[in-house]
Amino acid sequence: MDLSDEEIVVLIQNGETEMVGVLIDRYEEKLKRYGRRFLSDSDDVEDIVQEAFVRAYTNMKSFDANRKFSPWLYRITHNLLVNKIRSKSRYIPFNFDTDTIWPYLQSDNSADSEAIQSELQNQMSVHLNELDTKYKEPLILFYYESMSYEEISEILRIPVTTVGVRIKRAKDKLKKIIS
Amino acid sequence: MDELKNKIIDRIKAGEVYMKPRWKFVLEGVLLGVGIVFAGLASTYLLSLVLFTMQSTGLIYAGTFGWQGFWLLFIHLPWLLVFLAVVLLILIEFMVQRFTFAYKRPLLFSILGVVLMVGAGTTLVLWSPTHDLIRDKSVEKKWPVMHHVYERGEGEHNLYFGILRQNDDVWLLDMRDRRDQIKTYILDTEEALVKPRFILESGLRVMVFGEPEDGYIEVKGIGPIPRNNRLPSPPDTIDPH
Repeated sequence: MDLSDEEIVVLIQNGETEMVGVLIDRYEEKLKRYGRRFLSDSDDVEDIVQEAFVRAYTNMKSFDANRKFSPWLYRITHNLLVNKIRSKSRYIPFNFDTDTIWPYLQSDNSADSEAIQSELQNQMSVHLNELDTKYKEPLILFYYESMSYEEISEILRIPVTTVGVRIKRAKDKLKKIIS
Repeated sequence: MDELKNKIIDRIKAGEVYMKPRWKFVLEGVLLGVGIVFAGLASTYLLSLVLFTMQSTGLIYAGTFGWQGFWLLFIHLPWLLVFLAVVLLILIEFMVQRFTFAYKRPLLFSILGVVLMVGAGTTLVLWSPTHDLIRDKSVEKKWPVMHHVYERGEGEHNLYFGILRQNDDVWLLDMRDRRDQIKTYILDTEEALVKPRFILESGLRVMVFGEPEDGYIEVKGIGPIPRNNRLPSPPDTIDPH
C-alpha cells in the first residue's frame, strides 16, 4: 500500500474503518519497541500499545491531516507511558524543567556521522537506563525512532531548542558514564 | 502480530470503540479560546483595578517617601487582587501552552507574550475612564463588594493630599474628600522629610505622609502632587477664619 499515513487517516476519518489495520501494521512493532525502553513488563507494554491505538482511533477526527501522523501517535503513547510509570512509582516527579524556559542556540539536527551514530547506539543500549527519563526520551526518539527535533518537540511538548540541549546533555552524560 | 489488530478492529466493529465527532474537538478549541479571552479580560480588569485604587488613594506615590513609603506601599497593596490576577495569568499560560506555537518555543516567549498582552490591556483600561465610571456607579448604588473595593477614604494609608496654607508659624493642609467635605489638618513638620529643592509655600498642592492625631498630622514626608493624578481635587481657597 503506497498511501501515506496521513492519507490513510483521512480515509479513516471518512468512515473506512478497516484502514486502521494498515496503521496498526505500520506502528505496532515500533510502539512496542519504544514502550519496552521504559517498561520491563511486556504485558504492560502490550496494554499500552493497544490503548494507544484505541485512543488514536477515538480522537482521529481531531487529527489535522496537514501534519505528520507519527508524532501524534507517539504523543499518545508517550502520555500513556508517563501515566503508567507514575502509577508504578511512589515518587511522582514534578513535570517541569527550567531548560524549557530559556531560548538556546539550536544545534545541528544530525551532527554526528553515521559511524559515530551507530557506535553511540551500541553504547546507549547498554547504559540507557542509567540516564534520567528526561534525557532518555529524546535520545531514544532521535536515535532509535529516527525522529527530527521538530517531531520530538511535538511528542514531548517541549521547545525544539530544548530537544537539542537535552540530546547533547544526554550524550555528554553517556560519554561520562562510559568513560 | 495480527492479534492486536484483530482485537482492535473487532472492538471498533462491535461499537465498543468509536470516533468522537469533530464538533466535540471544535467545541473544545472554542472553549479554550473563550477561556483564554475571559481569563485575559479578568486579569486585565484586576490588575488595572489594583493600579486604579493605588492611584486614587495616592498609594502609588508612597514610594517617593523613602523606605517608610515603600513599606507603606507593601502593607497596603491589595494583595488578594494581585494574587487573583497572578493566578489568572498562570492559568492563561497553561491554556496557551496547549497550542503548537507556544510549546514549540521556550516558555519565556509565551510568558512574555501573555504579560505584554495583559500589560497593554491594563494600560488601556487605566487610561480610559472605565474605573472612574464603575467607581461612581458602585458607590452611588452601593453595589455589594464593589463599592467597598472602590470607596477608599482619604488618609486611609496615612497619605493626605491637599493645599498648603500658612497661618502665622503653623502649616495647615486643606483637603477635600470624595464626599466633597473640606477638612483642615495642622501639620507638625518638625520631623518632616521635605523633598530636595521643594520649598513649602502657601497655595501649593502637596501630598503629606504622616500619622494623624486630633486634627494634627505628624508629618514624616511632604512633597508635590504629580500632574495627571486621580486624587480628589483640592479646595480652591479656604477662608482662614
